[in-house]
Amino acid sequence: MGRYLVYRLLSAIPVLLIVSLLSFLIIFLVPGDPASEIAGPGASADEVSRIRQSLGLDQHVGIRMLAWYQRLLQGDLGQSILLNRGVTTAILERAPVTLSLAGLALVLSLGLALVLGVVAAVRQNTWVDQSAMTMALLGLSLPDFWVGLVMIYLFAVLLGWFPTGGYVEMSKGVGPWLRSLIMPATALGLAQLGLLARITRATMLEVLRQDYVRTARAKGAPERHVIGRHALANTLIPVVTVIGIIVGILLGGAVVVESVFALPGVGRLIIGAILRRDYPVIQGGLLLTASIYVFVNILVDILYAWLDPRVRYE
Amino acid sequence: MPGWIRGCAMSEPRLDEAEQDGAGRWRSPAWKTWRRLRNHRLFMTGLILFGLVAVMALAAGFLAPHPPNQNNFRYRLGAPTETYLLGTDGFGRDVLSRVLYGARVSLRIGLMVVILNGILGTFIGSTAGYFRRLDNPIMRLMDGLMAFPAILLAIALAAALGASEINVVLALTAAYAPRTARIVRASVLVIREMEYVQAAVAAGAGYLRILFRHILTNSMAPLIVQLTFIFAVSVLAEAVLSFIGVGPPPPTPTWGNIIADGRNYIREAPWISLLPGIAIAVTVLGLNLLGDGLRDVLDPRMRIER
Repeated sequence: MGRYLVYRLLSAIPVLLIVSLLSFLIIFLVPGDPASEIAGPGASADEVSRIRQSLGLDQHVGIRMLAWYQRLLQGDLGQSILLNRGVTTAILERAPVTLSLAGLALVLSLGLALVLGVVAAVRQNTWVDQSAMTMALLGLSLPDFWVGLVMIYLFAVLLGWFPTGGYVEMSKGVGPWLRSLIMPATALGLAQLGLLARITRATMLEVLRQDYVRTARAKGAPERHVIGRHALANTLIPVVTVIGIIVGILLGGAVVVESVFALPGVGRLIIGAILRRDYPVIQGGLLLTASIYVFVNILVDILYAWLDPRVRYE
Repeated sequence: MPGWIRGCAMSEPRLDEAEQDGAGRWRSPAWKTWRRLRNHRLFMTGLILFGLVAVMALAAGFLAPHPPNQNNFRYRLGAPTETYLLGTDGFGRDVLSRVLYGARVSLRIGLMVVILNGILGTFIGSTAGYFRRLDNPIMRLMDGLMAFPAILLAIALAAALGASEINVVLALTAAYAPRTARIVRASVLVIREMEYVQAAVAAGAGYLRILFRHILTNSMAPLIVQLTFIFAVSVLAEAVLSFIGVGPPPPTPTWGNIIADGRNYIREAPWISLLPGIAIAVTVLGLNLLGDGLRDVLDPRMRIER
């Protein structure tokens, strides 16, 4: 286990290097001079050169890259052009919103997906199976931002059950916090629901054919024990591995869902930065989301190796 | 490859039972595949749904009751009537006509992303899979690209390049090609070790010939399945890009920007956002069903139990 852990951690280094390099390079994609792009068409030459200096664009690329890595090693992502504060601070201020949203979406979709997947597998090829899998497929096919809008119209505008948007901090009560997040988390969780339900079903079907399930039945264990204990535990292992991929989709989806529901999270921060060309925030935000993805996947791999010892020895 | 070896391998026409139909006539593999697809209920449902959208796109000029950008300022945010079957938007434009023309943009972008993705993914994936030395550097770069949430990468690239249809295509290609490359690489790695490839190597075939003739032709199935899903994902992603405002610039009607317009009038005119969302869902659902069906029929190894 120790060797596997070290190997897995070391293998993240080249990926992180590439990720940080790509995040740095994105500014070069802007056609023309980034400084005058950021300043806008009406800006004076003075202002343009001020921005150019603050971005360090007057320096050689190599020097800028060195500075970027030097700052990264100190955990500093640079200064935002528009927000008048450090990128790290800006992201940390908004992190609780995104974490709450993504966490709730994951809990909701995983819970429902396990139920749908298990029920569909146990009742394979019946109407139960078919309707569960239709739901899963719909989850994969509906655009999340549109589902968000439809929910806002139905449950906020027409029925008035939930607020149309905005975020209430958890410190102001768990109830209001949940109320502000339940619609966005549902919209965000839809695609994950589809993916997870299908994987749960496929794995469960495979597990149900294993010898140990037959043994459990043969020794007279009640069916709910066979499914709930023997089969489900073994189904969860492959499902865990997908959570790494799911986190990537959640982070990307949060960007869009946060802007639909006017949630002040990291996603909306990055979108705002992209639309107004606040490059330090874009670079920092991209680097951070990608690093989270890399680390979650390492965690998932380690968890997988711990749950299923066969993986370690391959 | 010398002619006699090719002759030895191929001279016997394989007229086994599997390639004949019930009456004993010889049928091509393509015909057999089509027959299996035709019997796949979900595949056919997908074909009908996607066909519906394709007809909408092709016949938009004929089906649309109004030009997509024609304003009627006397009937802004108008509820559905006989002239405006699905109501009008904030500029008094017919929502139905705009959704029909929007199908063109969505499918055009989706198709271009699929083509570019197929070319680029095949090139990168087969290079990594076939040349061992290049494998590690190429795939680490792909891992790096895949660490960014695809939709975020696409938004950032599209915004940096500037809002236009071709830039949306480029951004989506860059965001999704690494996934295609990884799939092509995986099948090239397996097929490279097959006996018929070693036979071709032994016969002195050049690597380009081996790659194109022997390896890539046999790794088409997972690629086709993947590209169907890429089509679905790029329709969704294009809608997100347009919704956020980095898609094809207005007044071009796209499903995403119609929904974005409707969002501002959700209290007064909820119908604006409704139809384009349904259009996206039908397209993506159709493509996902097509992909599932193709996977069941073409690529049984990856089959999800039914």
